[in-house]
Amino acid sequence: MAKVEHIIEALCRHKDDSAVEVLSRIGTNCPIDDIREQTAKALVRRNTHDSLSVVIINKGKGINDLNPKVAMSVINEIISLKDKSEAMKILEDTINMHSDENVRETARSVKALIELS
Amino acid sequence: MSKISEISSSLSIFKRATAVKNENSASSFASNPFGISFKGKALSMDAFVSSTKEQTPSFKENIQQKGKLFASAVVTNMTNFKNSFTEKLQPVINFGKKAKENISNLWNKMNSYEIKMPSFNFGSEGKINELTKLPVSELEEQLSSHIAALS
Repeated sequence: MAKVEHIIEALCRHKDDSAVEVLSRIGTNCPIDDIREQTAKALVRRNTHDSLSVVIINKGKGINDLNPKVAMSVINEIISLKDKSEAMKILEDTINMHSDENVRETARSVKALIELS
Repeated sequence: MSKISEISSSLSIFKRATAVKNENSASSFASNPFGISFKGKALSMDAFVSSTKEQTPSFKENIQQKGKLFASAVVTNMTNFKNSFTEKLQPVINFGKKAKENISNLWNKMNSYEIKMPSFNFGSEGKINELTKLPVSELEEQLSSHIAALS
C-alpha cells in the first residue's frame, strides 16, 4: 500500500500533465476506497483546472464519490487549499451548467462550505 | 262514742295522706313543664331530645384540624429551609459557573493553537522524488500492477 501511495504522490507532483489522466483513469476508478481517496486528494493538491475538474464535475468521483468518507476527505482537502480560486471557478461553473441535479447540489454545498471557512 | 272518735281520727289520717299525695303530684308536675302524663303517671324527667343539639367537634375532626395545622407548619418550614439553602448555595453555583467559563475559554484557546508534528518520512520523500523522475507511462504500469496485486 505504501508503494501505491508513493506512486500516486509522484504522479501528483509530476511535471507531465498526462499524469492527471492516469490518476483519473486508474486511481479514481479503483474499487478500493483508500486508493480512490488518496488519488482524489492528490488531484486536489495538484490544484490545476484539469485535476480539480476530475474531482468536482465527474459523478461518482471526488466530492461526488458514493463513499461519504472519500467525499468528505476530498472536500476537506479542497477547503485546506491555500489558493481556492480555481476550485471556486469550477464549482460555480458546475452549479450553473452541469446537467445532473445531484452534482450541482454537491457543488453548491462545497462552495458554501468554502465561503464559510 | 269511742267508735266515732276512732272513725274520725282515721278519716283525718286519710285526709292528710291524700293531701300529701296531691302535693307530691303537684311538685312532679312542676318539674315537668309540659305536664304530660303517660298511663296516668307523670314523667319525672325530660324525655325529649333537643333537635338543636350542641355540635361538639369529634375526635376525628380534631385530629384532622391538628393534622392540617401541622402540615402547614411543615410546609412553611420547608419553604424557609429551601430559601435559606438556595441563598447559601448561590455562591457555590456562581463559583461553578465561573470555573466552567474559565475551562471553556481555556479549551477554546487550546483549540486555536495548531500543533504540527514534524514529519520523519525522509525515506518516503526520497522514493517519491525518484519516482517523479520516471515517465508517466512507467508509473502507470507500476500503479496498475500494484492495484491488481491488492485487489
